[in-house]
Amino acid sequence: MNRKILSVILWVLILSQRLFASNIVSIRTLYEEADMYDGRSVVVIGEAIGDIMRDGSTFWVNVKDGDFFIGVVLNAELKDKIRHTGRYKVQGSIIKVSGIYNLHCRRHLGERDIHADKIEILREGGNIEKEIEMSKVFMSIILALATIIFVFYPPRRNTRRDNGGQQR
Amino acid sequence: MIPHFSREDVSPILYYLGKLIIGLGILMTVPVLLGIISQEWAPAIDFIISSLLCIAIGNFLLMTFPGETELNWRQGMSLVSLSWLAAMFFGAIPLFLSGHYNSFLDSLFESMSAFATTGLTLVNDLDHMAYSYNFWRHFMCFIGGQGIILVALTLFVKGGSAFKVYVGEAREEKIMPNIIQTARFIWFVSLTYLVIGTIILFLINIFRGISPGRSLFHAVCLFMAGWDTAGFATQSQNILYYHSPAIEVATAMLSLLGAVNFGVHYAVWTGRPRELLRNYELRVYIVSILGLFALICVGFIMYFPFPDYLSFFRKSFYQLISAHTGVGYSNVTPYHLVRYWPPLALLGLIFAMGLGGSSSSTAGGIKILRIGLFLKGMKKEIRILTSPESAVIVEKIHHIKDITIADEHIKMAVIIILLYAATYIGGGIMGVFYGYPFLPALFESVSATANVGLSMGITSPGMPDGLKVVYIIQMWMGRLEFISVFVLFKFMLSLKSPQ
Repeated sequence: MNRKILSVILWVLILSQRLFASNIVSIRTLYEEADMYDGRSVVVIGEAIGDIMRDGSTFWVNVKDGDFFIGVVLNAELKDKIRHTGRYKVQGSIIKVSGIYNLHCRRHLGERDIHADKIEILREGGNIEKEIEMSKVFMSIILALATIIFVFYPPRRNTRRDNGGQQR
Repeated sequence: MIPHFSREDVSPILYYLGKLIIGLGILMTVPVLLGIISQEWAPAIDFIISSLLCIAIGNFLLMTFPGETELNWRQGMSLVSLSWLAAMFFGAIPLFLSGHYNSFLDSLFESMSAFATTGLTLVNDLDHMAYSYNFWRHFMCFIGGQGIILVALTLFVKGGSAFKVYVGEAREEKIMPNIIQTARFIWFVSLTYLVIGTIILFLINIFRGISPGRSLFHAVCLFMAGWDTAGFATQSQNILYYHSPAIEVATAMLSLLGAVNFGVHYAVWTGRPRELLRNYELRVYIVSILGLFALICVGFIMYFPFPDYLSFFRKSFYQLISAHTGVGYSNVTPYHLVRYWPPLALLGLIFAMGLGGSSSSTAGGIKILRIGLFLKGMKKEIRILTSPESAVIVEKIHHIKDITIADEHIKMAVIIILLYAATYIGGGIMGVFYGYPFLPALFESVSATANVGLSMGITSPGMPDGLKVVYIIQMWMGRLEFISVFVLFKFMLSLKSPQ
């Protein structure tokens, strides 16, 4: 029994040490405890989103973790590792970014960013299928018929009103 | 005095409302086409449903309430207010069908925010939104910024009715003698800038390595929301997404152009560039921008989180321009405003949002001309008190033409200023009622009423429904500058009361 407890404690210690050593933080934490992490080496995990944008010899990619985002500065070699960025019908790659976090980056005119020195693809992104709901197709057909009826076969009551209320 | 409304007023109002709803349905064919081009079949079907629904209901109103009669003032004003509510309702349908909103109320909020060119958003997962839905968000900004009624003026409304609905939409100045010509001129200017602005933004995006298709999409959307001082962006991070000073300069220039009176545009376009130097409203605007920037600078004296002055200027001046033009584009996060902006600097932004842009522009807020008239009124009163009793004191301004200020001008300006101030504070108190601190609540309230769109984080899908309704009403009233909304309220009350 004692050996089991000891081995569990040992595993917990090893895992927590690994976690601590890797400095994995959520992007939310980088917002809430920004001053603490400013200028330090951090590791964040999130989905690469949108476009990869050139900025001189480096590139920007935005990484999303829940409702929080951060701009990541990459060199060309690291940029080439990211093959999918999130957009409609595309799930962006889940990436692990290691680099220096800057609350107000001096090099980038006050941007909040991470200057990446390592990127690891945890899960490759890819296309997502979006199915058409048949109920919506039927609804559009019904509405199209209703529109045709209103446009080409107006209610009789209105014909009377158009003629000053006189019935033919 | 406005005479009592009768049930006879209902028919022409609903007839023109029917036409406007049909117009909205026709405009929805643009995202249908975009959906087909970009092979977004499910969104295209959502827009087909929404478009057909608009055309069917619009036709139903035309058939049920026939007769194209000339509108009187009260009918025109009521039509304008109702049109904006109808546009909000029908514009929200495709958004709701997209599945990116938690409730229909959230879609209504988004729709009103777009039409009123506010830019506050409740969207979920914007970064995975289909192009056609996202385009519709920005297209609504363009329609609303030009003026829903202005769009209709060029299509449907004729004769004497035109001016009554034009004025009801918070535009008092006729740039040309004919109101239809005025509407067409506004379209001409906007479409010209659309081409120029889109090309500039497109080239910046291309230069940064974004694919041509997406560069064009970003450029068109940024233009529509920038020129019409709305502030929606294609991505969740707003302007911060681009990490680009060039994009920030371009969008700031666009929003400044959008916040200038169309009369000044007309003067410059017709070979009178001196109007830029002589125009009283523009002068007050520049003084206001410089004065409020000085206030923000003072705010940051005690606490300066930026690494250097250039970074400070980039972030703070962009936020100020964004607030003062009402565009609401942001190059910092709401969290940054809360955590790193001192209260005095935030007050600077609140004042900028509250004052707004020029009259007869795409901007919201009190409007600089009214502030200028108020200042002239104060000056006049002081001069009267310090002059001999027999002296005749006259104050003049140059605004497109030389104008002698009458007491009536000052009275109307003060009434509207007070209405805005009351709404700003009232919305702030509502925010406090829902448990938010006063400064962020006031910030959000001013942002909603002045149709700006900057946020300190209160506006989110998780905010209380009651506050969403409050902000919808504020956006609606702020965009229409109260009067036509009050006429509609009187209309509704007089319909209920037995006469």
